[in-house]
Amino acid sequence: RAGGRRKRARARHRPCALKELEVSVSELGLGYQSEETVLFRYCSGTCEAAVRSYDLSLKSMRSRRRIKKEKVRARPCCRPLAYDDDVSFLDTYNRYYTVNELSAKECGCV
Amino acid sequence: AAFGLYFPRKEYSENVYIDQPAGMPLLRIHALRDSHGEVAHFHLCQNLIISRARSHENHWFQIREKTGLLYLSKTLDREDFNMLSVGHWMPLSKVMLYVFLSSHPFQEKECDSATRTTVFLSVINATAPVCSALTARQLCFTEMDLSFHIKENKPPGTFHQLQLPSVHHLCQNLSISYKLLAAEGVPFRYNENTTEVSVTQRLDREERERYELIAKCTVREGFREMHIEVPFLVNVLDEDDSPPFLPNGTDTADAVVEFNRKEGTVLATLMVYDADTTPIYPLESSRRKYTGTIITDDPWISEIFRVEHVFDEIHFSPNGSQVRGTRHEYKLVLNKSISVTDHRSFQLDILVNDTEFHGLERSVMLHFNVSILPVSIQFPNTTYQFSVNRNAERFAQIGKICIENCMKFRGVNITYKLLPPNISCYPVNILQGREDKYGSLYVNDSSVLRRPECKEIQYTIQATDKQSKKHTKTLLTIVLEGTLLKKEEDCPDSCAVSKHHAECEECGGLGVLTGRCQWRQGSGKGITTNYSTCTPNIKTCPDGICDVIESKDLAVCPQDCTS
Repeated sequence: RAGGRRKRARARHRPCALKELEVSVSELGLGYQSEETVLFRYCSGTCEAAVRSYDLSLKSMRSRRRIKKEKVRARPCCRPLAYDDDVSFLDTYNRYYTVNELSAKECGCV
Repeated sequence: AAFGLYFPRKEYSENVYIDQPAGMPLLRIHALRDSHGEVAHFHLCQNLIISRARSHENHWFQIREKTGLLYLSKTLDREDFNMLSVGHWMPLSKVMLYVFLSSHPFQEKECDSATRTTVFLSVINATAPVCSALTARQLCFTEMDLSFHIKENKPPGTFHQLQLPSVHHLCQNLSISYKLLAAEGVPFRYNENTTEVSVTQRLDREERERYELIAKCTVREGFREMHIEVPFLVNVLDEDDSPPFLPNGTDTADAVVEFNRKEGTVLATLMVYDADTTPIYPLESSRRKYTGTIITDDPWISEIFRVEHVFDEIHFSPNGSQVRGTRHEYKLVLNKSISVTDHRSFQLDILVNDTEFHGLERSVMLHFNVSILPVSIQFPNTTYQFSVNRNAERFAQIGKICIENCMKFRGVNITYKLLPPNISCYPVNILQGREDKYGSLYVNDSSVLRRPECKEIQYTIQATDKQSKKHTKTLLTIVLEGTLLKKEEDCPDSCAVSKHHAECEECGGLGVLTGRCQWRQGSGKGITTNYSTCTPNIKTCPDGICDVIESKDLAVCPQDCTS
């Protein structure tokens, strides 16, 4: 049981990286109807190694209620640094569409 | 025009085999005459073209000058075969040679006459099959289709021989006979003794342009009898032998110039029909053959008008069968924009000439009754009155200013201008609408709307025609109404920024008429032009057109103006 927990923990703490998924265009939820499949790359993972003094200080300021109303983020975030090329497809009504910045190309902690 | 002799086919083809002996007949070529008394002389170009690139001197093939029989003049041995197929990557070597035609004996054996036909000989890397190994199809016909073209209005003559000279030469013990199956009354005759097919009378394309016959072959070998049938087609080639004519006798049309005075406007169209065909390519030379000229010595008319000629194919049915003819359209077109003050009436004649027709009725005259009416630049009798809400924002569209019939105008440029008002309140301005047809009135300075001393403002509007400098004036009254609303805080400049119904209608933005943005509820079904959005004015935005006022500032209607 202890081993299972360690495994789960390891999976949770995988660092920020590019992952991919093959999905149909309809599944993207953008309103397009097309059964074409596209390769959807996304960023996933944690950013523990990217925590800087800034994050620690900001967290501290918040806990001391020096920052109250504003929305701040005291943790680095795993996000795309660059996006893939445009994706074009044909929908069920025989119209072509091109979607840009659909899929991630490079990930990083920002 | 005398075309002289001509070939009824563009291409012939036959097979040749290794070790076929000298004197072996290969195929017969025929020529048709342009006039009685012409005698055909055939001759071969002394170059063979092998696989389209290489050429070789001809040592093997000869043609009988009088009969057009192509034969082997030298036995085709393996060495010859290698010579003909050297550097050739295909298993089958195709040799091409040109046959020329002349009405007098050839003196110089040149390769550049226009009257030529191409013979394709497939040189097969095997000895000729024995007669018993040939199928009935091979004994009766070659692989080339039996399709011919015969010019109309030419004297009769022989244009094909059904019997294959090579088979006839080699397989003399076989009985091969032919028949030409046709509906009654076709102008073709088959001669059983010679197996030749002739055309028996002058053909008329305008009567029938295609004959579909069947060539039937019977092979008797002892008690066995085999029948083969193949299509035998004759196309009749056209020449210019029909004069132009007017459909329903209509040679007159009215051409009225009123509101549409723009260069390029088609004022009227008249048709001229012709039973002859007109090739679409090359287009310019076909246009030159059928001319349309304005008959005038008035330089003003030749400057202002031009004729445009287009033609297309139509079908005639002279006696049951359909044949193709031509419909020529002559359009009277404005060559220049005409001033609003011009006022003239006259008849304009266009002479249409079928230049290649050799009869007397080669031309027809078309008449256009041209009336150029002047148009008046004036406002309707009523004056303009618009009420503007005090909460309207900059670039709010108030209304359109239009002189009489302004939306019908083309090629007339009207400028609208506001002259200074009765009091020093300048909240509105005018912008030129699309194609300078109308003026769009909009809020130029919204702070003036809020000033209490500005209530009813009276302007004079002036509309001027750019070309004639004619102008007209009318009065415009702007009444400011409504009470000032308290401005919401944190509202964006542009209505389009709001994404939800509630926040949209709480705020104002550039271009709003009443101080509040308007929400357009879409259908909610996928990606459509009818999408939900927040806009200053549902009537003008988003309507798919980035009008002059919207294009002054992108924040007014980015839905229409984002490219």
